[in-house]
Amino acid sequence: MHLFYVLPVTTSNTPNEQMHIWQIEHYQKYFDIDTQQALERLLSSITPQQNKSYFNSTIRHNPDLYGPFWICATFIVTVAIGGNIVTYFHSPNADFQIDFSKIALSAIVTNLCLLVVNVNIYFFFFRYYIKRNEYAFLELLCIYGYRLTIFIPVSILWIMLIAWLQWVLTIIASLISASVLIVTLWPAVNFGRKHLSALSMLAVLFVHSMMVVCIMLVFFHISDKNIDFTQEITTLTTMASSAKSNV
Amino acid sequence: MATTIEDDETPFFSSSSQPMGMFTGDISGTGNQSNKNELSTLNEPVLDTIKRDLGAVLRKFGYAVIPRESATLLQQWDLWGPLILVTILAILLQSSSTKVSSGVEFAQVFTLMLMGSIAVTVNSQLLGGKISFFQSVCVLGYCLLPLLLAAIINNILLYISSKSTIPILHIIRFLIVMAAFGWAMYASTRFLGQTQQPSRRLLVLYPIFLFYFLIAWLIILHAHPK
Repeated sequence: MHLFYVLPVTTSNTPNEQMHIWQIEHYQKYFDIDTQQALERLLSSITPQQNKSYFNSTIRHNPDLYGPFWICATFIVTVAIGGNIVTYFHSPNADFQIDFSKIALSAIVTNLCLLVVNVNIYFFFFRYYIKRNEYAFLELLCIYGYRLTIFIPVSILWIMLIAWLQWVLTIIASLISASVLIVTLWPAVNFGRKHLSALSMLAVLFVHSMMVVCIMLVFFHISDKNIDFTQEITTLTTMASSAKSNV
Repeated sequence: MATTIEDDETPFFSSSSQPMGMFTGDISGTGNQSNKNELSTLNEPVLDTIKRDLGAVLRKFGYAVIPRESATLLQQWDLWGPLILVTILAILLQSSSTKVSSGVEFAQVFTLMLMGSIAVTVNSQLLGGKISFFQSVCVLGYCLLPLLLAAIINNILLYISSKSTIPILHIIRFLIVMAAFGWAMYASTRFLGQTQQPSRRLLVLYPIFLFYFLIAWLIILHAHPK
């Protein structure tokens, strides 16, 4: 169905002004990214580089929402699947059930909350304390979204339930993502009252690592007592079944 | 920019300006049937209608499974196939445990698939794709058929060997579901990958990958049916 509306001819009739919020084209400018650019941004958010800030070279001119949204979605998916795998291997056989809603809901809630809270902190911090509107809201959202990239392989590696390994992975990943953030934002924050800016950065990093540690503990961590108990049950049942089949 | 909007894209609302000062309107059906055929199908017997529509759905299943021709699925889209597939898949993925009632689980799986299709479609539209919303949902739904077959095989395997816990059974199940996942991914790539410019194709295919991956893992983790 094609309906052509005719508007009176005016010299200032540009179609760009006609794009309303409910049209898809209004949002297309936030997704103006190619595969090569996306891969470059992903790689540079994993490897912190001391000299050049990737933010200034890549994101500054073209913040995109594709990266943050789909990185969050991937993180939620890997946490959900990984958490389910962990409970699958460590629960009695007949009791397992895909507890998908709990995992998905909490992952979505933590991700969105942290995203919004962190970016709001940055935004108000920049707006009201430094009074220099150097970074737009979208660019900060972009930075924060790409910071989560390192946690995706980490969340897959969390399936191996070795306690010290999990903690080491968490610490390494938090350090990497924190260093990326600091390298990116420090030049802008580093004037004025140094103590305040350092404290606020530390506060944000603390909140971020708390979220990650919470996710790890809730979904991927089984206490030792639980493991021994269920292992005993499974060995007993397999021995019993093999004894039955032998008889 | 005006010409690109009216020529290349199919947005929800379209408007364009013409230099002449008169109204023109054109309402025509998007399907291949003209208005005369629409009128005449009202009088035919119900069995004919059902047979024709069912034949169209089954034909689209064939095209989705063995991707050979892309025109039919995209132009004559319908949502019957996806509805049937998603419903059967949601029924198969239920379990009989008493912790969560099966109605809630059915709703979870159904909602997940619905939201996933919507997210993938909106993503491909935002990246500048030339495909409309329902066409994309249609293709995604029809390409779920291999995963549905894998879920059926999964349930049969688990039912047959419900007494013993053989590790190799799980490996077989895993391999079958992963093969079905690859098949579904290939089929939907054939259809949806062509609607994008080459520089963004991977960006559009990745959410589809994620969607099917999630469904594949739901099937694999569904280890104790009844």
